[in-house]
Amino acid sequence: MRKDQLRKVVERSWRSTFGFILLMILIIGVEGRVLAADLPGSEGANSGAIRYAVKGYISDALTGEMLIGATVYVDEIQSGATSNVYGFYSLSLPEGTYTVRYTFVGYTTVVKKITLSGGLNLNVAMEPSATQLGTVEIKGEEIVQDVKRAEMSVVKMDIKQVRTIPALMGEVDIIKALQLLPGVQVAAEGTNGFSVRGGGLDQNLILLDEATVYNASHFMGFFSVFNNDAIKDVQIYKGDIPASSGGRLSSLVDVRMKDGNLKKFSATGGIGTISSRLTIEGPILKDRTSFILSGRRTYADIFLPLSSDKSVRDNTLYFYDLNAKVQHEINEHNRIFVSGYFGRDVFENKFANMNFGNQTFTTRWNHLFSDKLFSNFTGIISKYDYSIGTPDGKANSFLWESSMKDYSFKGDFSWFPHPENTVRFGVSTVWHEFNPGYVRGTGESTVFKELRLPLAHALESAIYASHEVQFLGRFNLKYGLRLSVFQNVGKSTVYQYDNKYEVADSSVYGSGDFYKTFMRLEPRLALTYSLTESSSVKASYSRTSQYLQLAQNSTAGTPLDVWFSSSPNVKPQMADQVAVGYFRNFSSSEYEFSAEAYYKWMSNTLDFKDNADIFFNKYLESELRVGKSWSYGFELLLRRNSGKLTGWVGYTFSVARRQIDEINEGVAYKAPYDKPHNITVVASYAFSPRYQFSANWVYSTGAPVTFPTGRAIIGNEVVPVYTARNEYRMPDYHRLDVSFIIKRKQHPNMKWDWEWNFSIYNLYGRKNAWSIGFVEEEDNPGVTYAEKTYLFGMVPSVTFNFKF
Amino acid sequence: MSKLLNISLLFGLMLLFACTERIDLDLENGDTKLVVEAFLTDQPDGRIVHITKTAPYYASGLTPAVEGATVSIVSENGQWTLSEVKPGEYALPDNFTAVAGFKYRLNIQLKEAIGGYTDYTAVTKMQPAAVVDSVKLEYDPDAFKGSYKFLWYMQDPVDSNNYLIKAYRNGQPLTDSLSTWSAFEDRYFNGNYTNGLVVMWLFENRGIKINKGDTLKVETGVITKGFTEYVGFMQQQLAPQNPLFSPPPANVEGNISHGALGYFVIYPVVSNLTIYQ
Repeated sequence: MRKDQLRKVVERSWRSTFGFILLMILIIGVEGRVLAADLPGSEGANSGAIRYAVKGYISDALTGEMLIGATVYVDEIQSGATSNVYGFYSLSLPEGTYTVRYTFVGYTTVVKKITLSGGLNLNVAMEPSATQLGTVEIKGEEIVQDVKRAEMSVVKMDIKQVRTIPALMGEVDIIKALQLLPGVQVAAEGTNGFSVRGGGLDQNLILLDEATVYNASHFMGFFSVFNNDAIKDVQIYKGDIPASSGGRLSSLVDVRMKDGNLKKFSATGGIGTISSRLTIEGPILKDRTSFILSGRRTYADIFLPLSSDKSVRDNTLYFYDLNAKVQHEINEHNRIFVSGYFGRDVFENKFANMNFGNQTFTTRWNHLFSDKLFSNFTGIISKYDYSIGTPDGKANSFLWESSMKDYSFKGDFSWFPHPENTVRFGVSTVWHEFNPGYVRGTGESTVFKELRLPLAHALESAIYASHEVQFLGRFNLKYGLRLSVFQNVGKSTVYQYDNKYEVADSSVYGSGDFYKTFMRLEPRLALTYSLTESSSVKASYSRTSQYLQLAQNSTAGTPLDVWFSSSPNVKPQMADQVAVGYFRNFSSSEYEFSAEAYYKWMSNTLDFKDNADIFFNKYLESELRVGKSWSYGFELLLRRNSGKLTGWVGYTFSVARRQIDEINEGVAYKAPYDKPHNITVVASYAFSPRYQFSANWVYSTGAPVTFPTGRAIIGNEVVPVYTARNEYRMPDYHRLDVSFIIKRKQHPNMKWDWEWNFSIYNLYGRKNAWSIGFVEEEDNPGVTYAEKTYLFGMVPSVTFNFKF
Repeated sequence: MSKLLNISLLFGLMLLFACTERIDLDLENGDTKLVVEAFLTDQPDGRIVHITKTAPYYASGLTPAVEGATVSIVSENGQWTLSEVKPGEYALPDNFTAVAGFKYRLNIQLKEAIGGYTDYTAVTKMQPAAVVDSVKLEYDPDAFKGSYKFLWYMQDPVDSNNYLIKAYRNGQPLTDSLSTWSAFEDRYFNGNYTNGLVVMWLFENRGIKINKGDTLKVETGVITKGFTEYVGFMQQQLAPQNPLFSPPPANVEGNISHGALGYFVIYPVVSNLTIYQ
């Protein structure tokens, strides 16, 4: 970026940020007065009772790892709070004596008697109730599913449970686990791409320690970039996305890395069928500073030289991940976290090479302005890039590079004025740098020139506030508003297209010029009515807008991602979603059940015209066609989180349609991920502390597909002729996977622990169609038949995991 | 360039796992459409317009010919009526000449309406011919499990050009169908000397074997941008479908009016010979 451009951008961003902060203060002021005067349970104006805050952090007693979403319940007021993503909680109570219960699934409940006559700092370390997975005892008061909270369409995955799910080639994968939830559809067999409630693959915001991960896949999407050993928590929001997040229409996947063991050094790792992993963590300063370093590398390439096929032997093929994090507690009011992810896929042979990967870097500072006002400031750098090329020294030698880079800053505040009131607000701004393609010849003999698609820049900012309030005993309301602003920043040439999508004119904008601004208000609303202590009905509405999208017109996608932004030619995509649901915990919260129905309208839906040219195209925008899309359905989920048998059963009914004037002759067509019926069964049974059996079974209606309705002969080829898009379906998909875990016999004083994990993907060898094509009969040229391609038969794998 | 890499790098990887199996699949029959294959050159052997109709997908053999149509080509330098030499095959008269820079219009008048119309038309523009210095054939044992490649030596003109390459061995076509042709634009090397740029791969595992002493002919045609795109999209649609790369299956729009399938192009061709050593 040039100096003057930088200066202009900084000035403009500062002005807009300053404006945001002013507006924020205004909102908080109003909120504050509202809280003080009107809200039920607030003694501010009418009783004069002084409230003191009980606050602190809730952590695991053995590792010091902060616990996200632990419940703090005060018997006397029959209300409480939950710990936030940093393990922090704050409750403001009048002077008095209270019984406070801290509960968290898989941990022994801690009960504290407190006498409050001033602010109280109460950090709580909770003991895991049993170290053996699957034998977790659950107590009646341990609330697994928060039926009372004004929050729906969100599922929290238990990382320990994810580890027991049978995985393809033994690679435990949180994205694959998310795909087993109702409402989440797989893009294609084996891939990590997913569609949430009928949305596109690029409508999911995937965050790793708050940094956007632009391509969460390794190796053509078969494996995700998330190394399970380094992950603490993952939640998926399928709707009702919190006001603090935005920029994608359909979902938020919030992945949090472990902070590192504050108590002692430990190492965990595994040797698997295709990769090995090692994680080391420990205190740098006991109880104050810790680190975690986690790595994974595949070694499929090590076996390639064994192949009898020379063209296989000469390949290099691997991927690796590195996660690193340091946390430090400066004092009771300040903590800092620095974390990073670095991953890369490499493929090379004598003929060509390709590599791609994500990098993220997050720095966070938690600061307590007061016992009731928690804040977090985050600085993020996130990058995705790839290159493909051929070796030097030939006429055809070239290198093609492309990248996407973000620099972000966020400030998030949580204010806990009252146990029944929580206010959250914040600002964020992201500077996007797009390098859609840069290709050039390499070496001396090349004939290729240097060509570059113009770089693009944009600033995406937001300000938000939300308020969660309980009233009339049974209602819990959360309402929020997010104002997002997207600005295209020069220098840039913007083309104007005529009604035949030919370039009619162009406008040139100088460096640092803010040449287009979009501003969108995104209201978010959720209301819960508690029917009983353990059941509720909920309703929500949310509006989301999306300014970045992926130039992709295949169903599953490749690593060759090109993101492009809203612009004078491309209006931001918008979605409105309403959902209602019934939630119930029963048998002392051993089981949880939820039923949700939703309807989602999306406008400015983008699709590419038939036979679009999306590679290295300066006029990419002219290939876009705009319309609308909608989806609706319902989802049922029954989960059991404790006892010998754990897991869930889910069913989804869903419909997803798109309608775009110039595609399919303007007739609505099935979205690529429209699979009406979807069943998942995920079960794990612990025979004993040493032996555990797990299985999952998935079924879904076949994906929509377009088949020919005629043939033509052109250029000596049988050319398929099509009538309508996505009118047929692939055969139904189903698959059973199993795994068996054998653990080391536990005894006191053992220095290290191990387990074997044997798994089989696709146990009954179902030949699920990955694609269907048409082939000419060999001895009968001109006679064509349908042929399916399937990727996996039965795939067994073995993993050995250790810990010391 | 990108297309070649996609297929070689990524699809190759997928095929390490993939297996295929024949399945039964019922298909509906869509409306009949007119199909015009008018890939004409300035050479005497490139002067046939094929007019056919679409057929049900599983129908075997050739598609029905459209007989008895009145077919003509009109340009600034003349007007020619094509005569039906075989059912559905219409030949240009010998006195036809194609001049660089001229526009040519194809007019087709059908005896009976197909797709609701009896008259179809299309326009193309003749490009100046290429000047190719030489071509060479090399064997590369590493690429695609053993392949022959044609190297191409010529000065690419400064203005944008599109090329269509076809190859022959001892007078027999090596590229007898559209998906084996090589059509590309000079975007990445515009104005440069091509200096042995690989313009075509011939794969051993597709049964191609070239012996020492064989005479190879490379035809370089200069085509319109529209026809380059047409060939490219057709090749993409004809390639095996897979979820990673395949765009939604769709008919490729040509330049014939009223939504007829096919394309009308007249392009100049030059030939270069080489003997495989």
